[in-house]
Amino acid sequence: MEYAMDVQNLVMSYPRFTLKNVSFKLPCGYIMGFIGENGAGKTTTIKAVINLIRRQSGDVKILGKGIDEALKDIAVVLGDSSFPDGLTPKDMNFILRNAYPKWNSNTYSMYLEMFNLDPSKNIGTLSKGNKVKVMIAAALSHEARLLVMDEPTSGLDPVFRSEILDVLHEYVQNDENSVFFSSHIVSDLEKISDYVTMIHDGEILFSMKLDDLMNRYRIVTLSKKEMANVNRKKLIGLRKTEFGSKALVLNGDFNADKYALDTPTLEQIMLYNIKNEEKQR
Amino acid sequence: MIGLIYKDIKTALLQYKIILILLALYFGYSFMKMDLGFFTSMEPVLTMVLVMLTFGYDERSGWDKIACTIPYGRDKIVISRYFYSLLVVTVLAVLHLCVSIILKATWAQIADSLLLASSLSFTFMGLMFPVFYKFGSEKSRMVFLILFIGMMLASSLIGDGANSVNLELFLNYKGLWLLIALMIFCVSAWISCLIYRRKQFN
Repeated sequence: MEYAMDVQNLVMSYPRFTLKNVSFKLPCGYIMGFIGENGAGKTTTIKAVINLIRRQSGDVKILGKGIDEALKDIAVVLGDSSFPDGLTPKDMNFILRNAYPKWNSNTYSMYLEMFNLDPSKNIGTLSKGNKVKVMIAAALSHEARLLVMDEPTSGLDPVFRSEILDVLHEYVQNDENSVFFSSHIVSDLEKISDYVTMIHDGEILFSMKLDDLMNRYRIVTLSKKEMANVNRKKLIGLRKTEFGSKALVLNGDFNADKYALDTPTLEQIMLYNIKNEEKQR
Repeated sequence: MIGLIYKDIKTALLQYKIILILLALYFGYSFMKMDLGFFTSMEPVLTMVLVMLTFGYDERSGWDKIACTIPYGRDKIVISRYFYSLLVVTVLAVLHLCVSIILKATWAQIADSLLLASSLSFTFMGLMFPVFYKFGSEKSRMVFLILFIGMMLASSLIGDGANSVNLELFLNYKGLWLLIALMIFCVSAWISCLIYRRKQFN
């Protein structure tokens, strides 16, 4: 199987934070959502993968190559950065066509039109959402095979986010293109991801197919009486409610005939896992 | 690299009103005094302003991070900035020539003042660029101010009196000064590349 992104044992150590042997693989043709709370290590991981920060150890392969050779085949959209103020989307066409061998001005114009962006408008005067749209238009215009996005939709309205998700979904339809998308808006990722990787406190908690993940867990609702009798070791994160408790459990650990079981959302899986990790410390 | 130089030009031109006001002030004062000296001494400052603008805008938008993910290569990102600054020096030199002709300066005066202004510009940029790449534009502004005042003080101290700049020291060795300035500029490009290759965008 060919991997768009293959990260092995990535280690970064800061005085107050460490990435601990981060490993995951994104097969070509899929979208991977990268989730975790603020400060969990999502941005640090992405920066280490694309060489914006030097990794202390670990191996990263992008489309089977080192990052420097792969740069022309990838596109990166960083939520905290934008094209410089004072330039227009039209200027960016000139700047980027000199950088990417496969740059396609027609595709770029098509995306600008699709996003209702004026090619002659100063990027500095655009809203945050429109700045992101310009970057996404550029990212999709040079036949990149991997799109790496770090929190591109944070702080943006649901309509805009939905529009971006549709574009990303369309982008991977050729089964060759892949997307690695970090966000703490888990509901967005749940809509489009094929794979999900979760990081917590610099450590990967899981990296697997979304379907398998959803199938792996159940939410069990327990009365106070039931709580007294269950094996607490089987509860992954516990939340007390007015009438009892809710917990994340492995599918199969609790009998559906005996207990009230629900399929969890991705957000619940994330939250309960974080709770569980914190409890174990 | 053309794209990156174009980006810097467009970014600097954002502040065209300030640039025009500064030019008008420098030119007006020189014209009132019918003396090229003021224009010559302010030319390196204007060069630095035009260069610092580009560093500032890049830092503000986070462009550096994006640029490093575009297949330019980090060295090209740095070298393009040096080419842009060469372009700034050239444009200001042409302007200098025009002002000199209006002020009816002799060719010898024009040559001397051009060499002085260019030498200072290359020296300032050569010394400051690695600082910009290492510490970013915000922190480096103070270093530039200290460097500027330091150079003025140094030229005063080696001058005839406490307040005068000894131009003879420059004029006697003007070719050598320009050569030294260009060497500083080239070595600076090499150091900046080394710094930028290792730069971490936390």
